[in-house]
Amino acid sequence: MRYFVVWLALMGLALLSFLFSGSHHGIFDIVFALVIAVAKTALVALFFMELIEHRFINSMVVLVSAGLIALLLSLMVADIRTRRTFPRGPVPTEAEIPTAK
Amino acid sequence: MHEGPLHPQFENLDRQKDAARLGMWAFLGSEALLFTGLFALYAAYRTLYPDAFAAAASHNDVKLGTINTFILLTSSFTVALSVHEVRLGRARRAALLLLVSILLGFVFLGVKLTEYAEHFREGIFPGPSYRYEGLTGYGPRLFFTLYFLMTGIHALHVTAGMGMLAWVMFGAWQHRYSPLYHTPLELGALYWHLVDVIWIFLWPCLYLMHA
Repeated sequence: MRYFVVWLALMGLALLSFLFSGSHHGIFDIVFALVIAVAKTALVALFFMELIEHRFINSMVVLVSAGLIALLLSLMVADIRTRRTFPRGPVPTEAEIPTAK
Repeated sequence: MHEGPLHPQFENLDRQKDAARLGMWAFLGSEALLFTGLFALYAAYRTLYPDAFAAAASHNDVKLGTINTFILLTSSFTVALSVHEVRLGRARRAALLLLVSILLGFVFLGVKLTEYAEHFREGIFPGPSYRYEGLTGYGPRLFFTLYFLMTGIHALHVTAGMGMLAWVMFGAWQHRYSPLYHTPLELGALYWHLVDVIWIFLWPCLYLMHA
């Protein structure tokens, strides 16, 4: 029955991520791992949790949550990546401070 | 076989079931956002210390993490099957499948505990107690603090999920559920699937994305 097929697909995707994690492809390591994770989540949500058969309002909860998660994570990472921090420099002495003449 | 009590505010049992499901999904959404906070911390600190995080992740045992993934995926399968069995009127078979799921939950926790024990033996503790000489600096400390926090809170959720499954398992065994009414079983199953989904994201973040 279809639960068995979904389970096989989930195990297959898990195995795929495991095998893929052994090699390295730069940024695609993270991208690929997360794409597979999202695919597995979709399978669990749609078929094990039967979201595909529930009323659409339940899917709305999932979609809104996913949207908020994407918003939080993207803005947080963007914030940190684009920060410019200024290292503390030496404190100027009295003589070095320019005074208006 | 009996129909569950219809509460006065609902027109019929279908509407009551819809309301129960929406309520459960809303709760699952809130649980997911709870873990999102932790994942956001992970994303932020990974951005700051990418190499340290990758190196620290290599220190986790990928094989044990993968075994745990297979265990939880299979337990989700057996839980989904148990709901299916109740719908076919085979409540006792459903209870047995729930028992299998709970046992798989115990195995998951067992593997987790052995991993923690191994880390403690090496001196890897959360927060200021960290004293592993092999990986020093802020990056690995942050990684392992997040690791313990995320997997610890997840393990608490697994335990709570097992409690819920046990509750509905006894209900199924006593034939309290039927094809017409098995809402508590469905809702317990939804919680267990969420616990699985959270692990589906924890696993790549903490085990797969290594150096």
